[in-house]
Amino acid sequence: MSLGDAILNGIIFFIQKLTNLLPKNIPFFSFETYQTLLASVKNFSVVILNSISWFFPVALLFTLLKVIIYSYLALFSFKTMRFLVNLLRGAGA
Amino acid sequence: MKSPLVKKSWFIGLFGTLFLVFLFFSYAFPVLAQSPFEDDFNDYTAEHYLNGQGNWTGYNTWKINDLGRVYLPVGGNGDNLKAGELKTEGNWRLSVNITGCPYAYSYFNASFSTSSSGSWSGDYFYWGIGKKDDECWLSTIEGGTSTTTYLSKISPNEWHTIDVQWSLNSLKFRVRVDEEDWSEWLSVSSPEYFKGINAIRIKSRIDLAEFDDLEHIPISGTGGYPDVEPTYPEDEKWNYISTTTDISFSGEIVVPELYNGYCFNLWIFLNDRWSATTTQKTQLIIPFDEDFRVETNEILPYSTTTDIEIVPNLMKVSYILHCFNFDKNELELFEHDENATLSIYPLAINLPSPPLSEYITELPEPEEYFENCEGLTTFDWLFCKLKNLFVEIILPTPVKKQELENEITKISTKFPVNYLSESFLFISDISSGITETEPDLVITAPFTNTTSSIDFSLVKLNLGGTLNLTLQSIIKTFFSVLLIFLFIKWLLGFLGDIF
Repeated sequence: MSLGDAILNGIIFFIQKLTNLLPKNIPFFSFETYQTLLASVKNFSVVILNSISWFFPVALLFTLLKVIIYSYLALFSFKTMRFLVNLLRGAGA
Repeated sequence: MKSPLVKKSWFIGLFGTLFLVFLFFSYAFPVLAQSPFEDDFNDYTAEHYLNGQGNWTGYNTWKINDLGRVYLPVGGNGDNLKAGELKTEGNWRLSVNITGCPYAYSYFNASFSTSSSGSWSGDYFYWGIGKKDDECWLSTIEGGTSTTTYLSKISPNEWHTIDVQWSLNSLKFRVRVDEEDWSEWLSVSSPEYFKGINAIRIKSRIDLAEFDDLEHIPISGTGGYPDVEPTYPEDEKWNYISTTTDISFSGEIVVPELYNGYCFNLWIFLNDRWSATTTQKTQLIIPFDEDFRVETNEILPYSTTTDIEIVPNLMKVSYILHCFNFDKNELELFEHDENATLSIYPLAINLPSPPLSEYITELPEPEEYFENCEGLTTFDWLFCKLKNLFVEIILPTPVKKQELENEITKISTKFPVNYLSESFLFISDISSGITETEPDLVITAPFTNTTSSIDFSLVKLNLGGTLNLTLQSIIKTFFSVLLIFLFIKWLLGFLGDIF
């Protein structure tokens, strides 16, 4: 077994445990409901945004929104890892 | 205790059966299996009609003389045929004596075809004797043409041997007289229906000919039969099957470029080779035992059988390979044909893609991912070994990477990953759904047999008028600056959170 295998084994173990732990749906708000809701919102938004795109830079707005979302996701991931490392070394959460 | 009567009837039954078997093999079997192309006429009853003797059928015209030869009585107009076992190739000889050639073209001829219960399918090829420039000539007509080809002179009042050689494989025939040079190979008529010869028909329009000794003769030094020569422009890119021999057939498909595909069936099409258009005769769907992954350029063997009656003797084989695609969140059906054309059909019902791991039947062997150092020179060998050592110690094996991919695929269906990925898709969907109100120009132009649209939306045209477009530009620029300003403000706050 290589070093890479050992690291991947750890990650795989973690993902497996997490997969078993996580549900597929949130109670009272299933994934299908969420999809349907998003589809309705999308259809409505597209109509509205199309009508304002004459004077408003909608494409730019969405590009910036994506950057913001990815940035928060990266920050959240970093904080989660720091939290786990702190737990492991016994420093408390 | 058994009755003697029972034993007696048992023996009667046994010997009766043996007698019937003997009758079949001594009489019926030779009649069924005999070739129509071997006949010396010596055992036939003299001065009787040929019709009705030795399996010959037709009109009461040709007769047998005292020497065991066939002749036409004065005023006769002969037409007799003999059918037998179907042959796929042959070298056949007929001895002929003509006493004159009063007519052009062929007043005396021998035709070759298939016959069932005395009915004639039409000549696939023939030779004839007729007058040209006041002399007798052997002639024929090549299939697909209407021009008589004159082959050799024939002297009257002499016995001549006329040979015809042919094969199904080549779809061609050739003729010669008295073992002289062969004619060129000529195409048979109606090659699409030609599946062999089982009958000969001998005709004469006047009583100036006699014939004898119909033989099948092995002819050495003929150079063999020619191969099928491609006739249609697209012939070379097709695989063929002969429906006279290959009702069970097999072939190979080189898998075209694929991506993440699992294939579940193969459609084989048999197309009429003789049709100028690709007329499809039959479609065979071959399901695979289990869905399996195929690799680009992999050779995929197939074999199948068909009991569907196919009339043409040569069929083109084409195929379509059906596979599923897992590269997106939804299953897609895609197909490849033999022209490497890829068609993708999203399924009508948008099923979520099942985890890829469910379809993986075997994982790659780790040994395949090390470099082969054999045959390398000193430094290259050393470098190769060190690289393999590095790979072995540091890098994860492909098996482990695949396992990780499988686990990631599994967790992607769980909360919150599925909700988050759906949210990202939502934003992408909205972005793609927005059409900026730039002036668009869509041109619809008629092409050959179809109408296509070309979207020229990238071409910016000032169709809105100078004043209008300027106002739009000013407002849009204002909002763009505002958005960028707000974004920078947020970014400073965000960076402050981190550091």
